[in-house]
Amino acid sequence: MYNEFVSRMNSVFESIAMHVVKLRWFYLIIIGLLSCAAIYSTLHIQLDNSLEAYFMEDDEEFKYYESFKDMFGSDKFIYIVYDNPFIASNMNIVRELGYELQANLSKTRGKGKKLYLKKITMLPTVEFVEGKDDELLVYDLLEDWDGSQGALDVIYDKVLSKEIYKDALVSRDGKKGGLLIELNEIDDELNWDDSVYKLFKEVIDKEKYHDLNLIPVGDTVLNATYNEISWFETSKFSIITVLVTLSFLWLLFRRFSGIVAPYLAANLAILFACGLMPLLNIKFTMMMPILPSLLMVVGIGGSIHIITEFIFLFNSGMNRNQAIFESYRLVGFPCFLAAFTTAVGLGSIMISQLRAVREFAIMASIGVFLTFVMILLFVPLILCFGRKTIKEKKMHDDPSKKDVIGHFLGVLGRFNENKSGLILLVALVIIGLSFWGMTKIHVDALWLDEFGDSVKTKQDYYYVDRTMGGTGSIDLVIDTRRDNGAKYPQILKAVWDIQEYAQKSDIVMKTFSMVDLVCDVNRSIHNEDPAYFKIPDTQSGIAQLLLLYEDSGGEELDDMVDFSYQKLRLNIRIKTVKSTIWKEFSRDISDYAENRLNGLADVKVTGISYLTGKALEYISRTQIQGFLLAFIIITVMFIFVFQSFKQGVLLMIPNLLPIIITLGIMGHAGIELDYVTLLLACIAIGIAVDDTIHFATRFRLEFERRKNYKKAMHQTLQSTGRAMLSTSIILISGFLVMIFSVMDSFVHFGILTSFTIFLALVADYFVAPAMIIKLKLFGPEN
Amino acid sequence: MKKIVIMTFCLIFLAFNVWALTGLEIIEKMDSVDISDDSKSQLYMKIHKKGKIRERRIISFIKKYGDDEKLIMKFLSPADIKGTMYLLWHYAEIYKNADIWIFFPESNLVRKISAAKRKNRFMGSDFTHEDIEKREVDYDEHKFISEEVIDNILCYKVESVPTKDGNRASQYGKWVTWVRKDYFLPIKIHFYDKNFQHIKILECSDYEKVQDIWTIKKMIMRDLRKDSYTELIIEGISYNLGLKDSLFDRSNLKR
Repeated sequence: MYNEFVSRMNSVFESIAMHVVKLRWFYLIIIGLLSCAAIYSTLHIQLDNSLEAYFMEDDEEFKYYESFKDMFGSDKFIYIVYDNPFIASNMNIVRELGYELQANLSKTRGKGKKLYLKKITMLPTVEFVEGKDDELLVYDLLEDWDGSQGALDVIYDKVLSKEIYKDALVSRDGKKGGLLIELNEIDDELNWDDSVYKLFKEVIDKEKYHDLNLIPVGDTVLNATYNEISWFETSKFSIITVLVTLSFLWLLFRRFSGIVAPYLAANLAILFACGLMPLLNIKFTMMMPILPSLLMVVGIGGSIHIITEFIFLFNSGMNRNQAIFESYRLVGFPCFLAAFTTAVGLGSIMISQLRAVREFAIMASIGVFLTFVMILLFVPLILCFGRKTIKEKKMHDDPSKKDVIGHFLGVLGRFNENKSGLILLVALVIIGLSFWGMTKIHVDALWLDEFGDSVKTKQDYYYVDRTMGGTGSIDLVIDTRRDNGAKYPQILKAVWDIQEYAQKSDIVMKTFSMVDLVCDVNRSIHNEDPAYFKIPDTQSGIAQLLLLYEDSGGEELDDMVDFSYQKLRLNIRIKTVKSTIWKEFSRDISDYAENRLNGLADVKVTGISYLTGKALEYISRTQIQGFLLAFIIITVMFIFVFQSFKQGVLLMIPNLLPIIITLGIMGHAGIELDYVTLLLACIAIGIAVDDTIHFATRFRLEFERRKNYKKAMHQTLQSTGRAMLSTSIILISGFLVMIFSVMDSFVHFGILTSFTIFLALVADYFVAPAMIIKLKLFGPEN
Repeated sequence: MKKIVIMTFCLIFLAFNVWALTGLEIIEKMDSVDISDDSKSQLYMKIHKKGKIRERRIISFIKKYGDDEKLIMKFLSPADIKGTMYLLWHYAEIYKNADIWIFFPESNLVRKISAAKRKNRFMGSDFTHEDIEKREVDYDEHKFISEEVIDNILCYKVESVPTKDGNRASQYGKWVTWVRKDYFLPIKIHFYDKNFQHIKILECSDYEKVQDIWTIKKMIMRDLRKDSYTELIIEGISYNLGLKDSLFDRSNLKR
């Protein structure tokens, strides 16, 4: 039954190859035309590394965050830290910088003609409110400054007496200044962050500002950096992958068609996949730089099996076309199964709740499918050109018997013959140790650590964290459930307590809410008497202070309370810390707030840092489900292909082994799973399984011919085993290309995936044959 | 005969140009519509944003002192700011900021806010202090643009650009006013910032002759940047009441 099924499938692939060779010109023209269309389409790929690119539109947390922005305004900003704000010359230069930024960013964009710039807050122009002799003085901080250092020293004391300016416009020691650029989000403009960042850089890169040591951070800076890295990394990975794979292909085949066929097939698949992105309305997000390299190695890996077989047959004296048809008959079906399992592995990530991850999974699966289509339709087109038969002197020149690889595979086979029991015992011990290691593994991530140390934005974030307070922030939205509820003294007093509680945490740098504004104005109308830095006891008292605040130019209120005074916002600036730490903090502060408000209001946590942590939670939750899904589908496919439950299940062991060992080592070594490495298992199982398919199907074919396990194993190792080595080397080197990334997460991913692929080869070379021989998996010998 | 016809047309054309008003004349005529010495009005302010409304009722007294103006306002509602009073002294002098005193009934305190800025929002509305201040005609250069029909009303369209001196005293780069030809009151004003981006629109309606003075009884200020607007409705107004100077004294606030 098995033989019947497999031979039928082999015939199908042989016929396809015959059909393609017959209509070679037709297929060449079609592929050429499609390539032109794909090139045109790729020009319309959009970059998007904003938060919106990561979340599904119907995600509850994301929806709440959007409504939060609707209530309190856009939270897009660029924050610049600079040196010595209270040196007279610096104060003047910063003023000039602010005006230049104001002019450059005051450009309307989008259909609604909205301005990029909302406002700039900086020491030279900040409005200062001060109570003195029954008078409330509202003035620009530098309004009466005569330019002298002495006068500036007086202003220095004034600024540092106001808590609201500390860790915002000036550091607590007065040595660093801060300039805040608040921006409007323009929905209908593509690559919004890049446009703003470009205008911003035009100003800050001017030489006259160099002495200020300007350090910019903020969501816009980060997104623009991500976008820049995305393009750069994609080009870099692609070039290095091309060089590496071309070199290996040359070493391997030393013939033109052997290089051109796999290389062009893989590149056409990449081109078509990229061309589909705009048509499917999928944007180029931070995961996508992996895609071209991934498809390149998978595509070339697949082609190698066909070409190795073809060269073997052709060199054995077979007619060119016959050799092509026979190659497809022998390895076409395993190639299909390999592509299918890889697509399933990558596709299993699709169940992720994150848009960027889901879209990467869609494109990766489609891409892998396209690589197979190209192996099927394009590789025969290249192979069929050339001399019809081999020259006489090369005939019957069997390469497998003479070269180093052949010799190595022979030794390997003999080792497996004699030591199959030992191999299985060692494998069992390693599995046990790995499972133990896996229990120690945990998921944690610091998004900033995704960048390598060489990335300036990473250094800048840590610098701002150290000097001016936290670069991360979470927001508590306190919903009083009634209009004007935010003016109730008992609610504001609870918010005061929540702020005090938050500030006890080591990771909290600053808290800010409407309470700070109310207390500050209250103190000012009482001639700056510190005893009045408190919340008035009545709603009217609070309302009147707020009216005064608004009328004297205060615009912060719009960011801290909604229009009907129903919901108020408590912003907590935190250090950039690992997700588990801030998650624990956000849970703790949320619990405290709920207890303290005691039913007076509802509390909800949101903000960029909160959503970043949610993303990690989603990935870690769904990757386990994704892996299980991939595992089940691939196991069912194995059972179906081998027409045996026992064979299908047992042959999954060499596939699982590399993943278990990698995760086990990570657990023992204390390496955490982060945003990218979480996807490792799903991607690795899809790729690791390919070699097992080729090995096991060929082993079974050879066993059916010879009815002798040892002979079948030797023959399989000398044919498929050789191709497995080539594909593994190409895959490993393809993934190792990522060590050249400036993103640490990609470096880790590249190393771990390469290591897993290496283990997969080891498992297929040792464990799979040992298991097949020892358990006599394909039936009795003759 | 042909020459006579041409000359007649030329004379008529010249005559029309001589009789046509300049931008400055139109704005001066608009400025002189309110000939009252003082007034008392009940104002109803509705600030709209994102489908929600903040309502405020105010009673206001204004008295003119030459080109200067004093204004006192008392909040009648909402309850939490009831009794809060504003006293504003607006000065014609170009660089002199308004003086503002506020009385807080809850703490029984009067505080002067010095140097309040013209660009600051007035009572949290879409009007700024500059919008409610009287602005001297000669702060700006006025240019007649055209005649246009707005809502079936014939209007002069005049563009005003602050002079070099006037520029410092304004948050705007320019504004365009459509002045009704019949009452010489504005029907619409478009405000532009210093980068000449269109930022605000004032719409006027409900014109009524009160004690021989044509009065606008409803204004809507729309802030295009904030997606909000404020309605200011004059519910009752009377002119020339002979208001005493002491009403506009700081000491009157606590009374």
